[in-house]
Amino acid sequence: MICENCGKNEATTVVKQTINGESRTLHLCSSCANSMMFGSFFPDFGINSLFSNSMTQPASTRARKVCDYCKTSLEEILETGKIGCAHCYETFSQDLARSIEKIHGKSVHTGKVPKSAKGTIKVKNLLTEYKMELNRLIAQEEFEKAAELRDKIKQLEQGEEKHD
Amino acid sequence: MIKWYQTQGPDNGIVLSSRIRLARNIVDFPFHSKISFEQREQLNQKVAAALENINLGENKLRFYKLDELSQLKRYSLVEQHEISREFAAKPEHRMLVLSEDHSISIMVNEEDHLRIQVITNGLDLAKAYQLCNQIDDVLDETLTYAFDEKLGYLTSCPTNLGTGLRASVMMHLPALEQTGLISQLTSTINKLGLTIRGTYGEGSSVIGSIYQISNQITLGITEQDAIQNLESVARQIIESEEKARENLRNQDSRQLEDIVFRSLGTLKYARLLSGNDFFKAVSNVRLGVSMGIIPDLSYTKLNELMNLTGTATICDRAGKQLPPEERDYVRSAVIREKLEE
Repeated sequence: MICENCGKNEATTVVKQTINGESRTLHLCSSCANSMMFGSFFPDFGINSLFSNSMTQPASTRARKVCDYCKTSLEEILETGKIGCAHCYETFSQDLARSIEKIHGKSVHTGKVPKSAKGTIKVKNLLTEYKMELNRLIAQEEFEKAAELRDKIKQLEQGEEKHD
Repeated sequence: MIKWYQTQGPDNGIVLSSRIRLARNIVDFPFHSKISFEQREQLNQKVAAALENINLGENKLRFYKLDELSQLKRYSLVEQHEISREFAAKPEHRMLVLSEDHSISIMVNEEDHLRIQVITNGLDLAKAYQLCNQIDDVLDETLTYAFDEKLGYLTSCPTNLGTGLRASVMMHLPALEQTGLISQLTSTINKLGLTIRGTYGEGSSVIGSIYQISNQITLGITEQDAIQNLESVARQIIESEEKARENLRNQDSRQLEDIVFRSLGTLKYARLLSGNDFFKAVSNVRLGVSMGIIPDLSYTKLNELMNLTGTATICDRAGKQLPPEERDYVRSAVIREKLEE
C-alpha cells in the first residue's frame, strides 16, 4: 500500500486516530509518520532529526560513539529507542538528556532509592560536611585536627571508589 | 486458593482492577536488547534465590520457566493481564513468578530484567503499591539495582526512568462511551500526564467499554504523587460515569432495562457466543448490576466470567486448540455453568 500522505513511498505504519469521537485509519510511510509525530516515543529520535539537529556532520565522517561496556552505539539507541545497559546512560548522557526531559518534563529523580545507593548518598553528604569542616580547621590553623580529618576524608573517598 | 478477582473490591461498580508495575534492572547485566541467553539464565537464578525466603503468608509464589508453559497457558495469562503479550510470545530463557492467587506476577527478562506487578480488585492502588514495594524491598536486599541519583532506576526504555512505576486502573465506562464524552476525557487526561488506553494496554482496542488509565511520567515525581494523581483522576471519572449513567436512565429507563435484560438473556441462553458478543453482553449486564437493574448477580461472578472465557483460556482448559465454532460453544457452556452455580 502507498502512503496516504505523500502518495510516494510504501506505507509501513498504520495510525488509528480518534478526533471528537470520529475514528479514521491512516496508512503512512515511516518518514510521514515521523513528521506527523506518530513515529516513536522520542520526538527527537526520528531519522530526520538525527541529521538536522545537534549532529550536523554526515554520519560517515562522525566518530562512532560506542558504549564501552555493551558496545551499543548511539545510532542503535536512536533507531530502537532501547538502551543497551546501565552504562549507556553515562556514555550518552548528553545525547539523551534532551529527549529524557521531553518525555518526562523533568530531569531529576525524586522517589524511592535502593539500598545500594543509600550508602553512597550518605557518604557523599558526609564528605561535603567533612570538607567544610576541614576548611574551617585550616582557617583556624588547627592543623593537627585538620590532618586527622584529611585522613578520614581520604579513607571515605577510597571506600566510595570501591563502592562505585 | 481463590484468585484476586474472586473477591470484592472498592468501587467495583466502575473499577474492575488496579495495577502497579515496577521496572527494575540489575547492575552488571546488559539490558534486554543486549543480554545473552546465558546471562538471562544467571539472572533467572539470582531472582529465584532472592525470593526464596520471602514471606507472603499463605499466598505462596510459584516459579515457572516460561518455555515450559504451553503456548495456550501463556496466552491465557495474557488474557488475564498477568503477563505481557511480548513476554508470552518469546518464552526462551524467561522466568515467571506467579503467586497462588495470581495477584502478584514477576516477569524476569522482560523488556527490563524485572517487571514486578501486583493487581488488586477495584480501586485500591495504595494496597497494590504496598505489596509491590514489599517485594521490591526483598529483592533489593540481595540484588543490586541499576540506579542513578539523577535519573533514578535505570530502565531499558527511557520512558520508564525514575521510579519505574506504572500505575493503572481498569475502568468500565459504557455511559461515557455512549454519550461520546470519552474522547473529551482522553484529551483532558493527556494534559494531566496520564494516558487512556484500550483493554489490553498500549495499541489495543477497547472491548466491552473497558478502558485502562495510567500514568505516563515516571521521572521527577514520587511514587506516592503518581499514585495519588491517578487515583484522584479515577475518582473524577467515576463521578462523571455515574452522572452519565443516571442521564441514560432518565432519558429512557425502559430502553436501558431492555438492553440490560436482553444481554442477560444472551449470557444465560446463547449457545454460540463469540468473544466480542460475550464482552458486549457482559458489559451491559455489569452496567445493569451497578444500576440496581439486576439485583441478584455479583461483580465477583462477572469477574469470573471475564477471566474464564478468553479464547486461549477456553482452549487451555480443553487442552487443545479449538476451531472458532467449537470455542463459541464451549464459551457459552462455561458461562451457563458459572451463572447456575
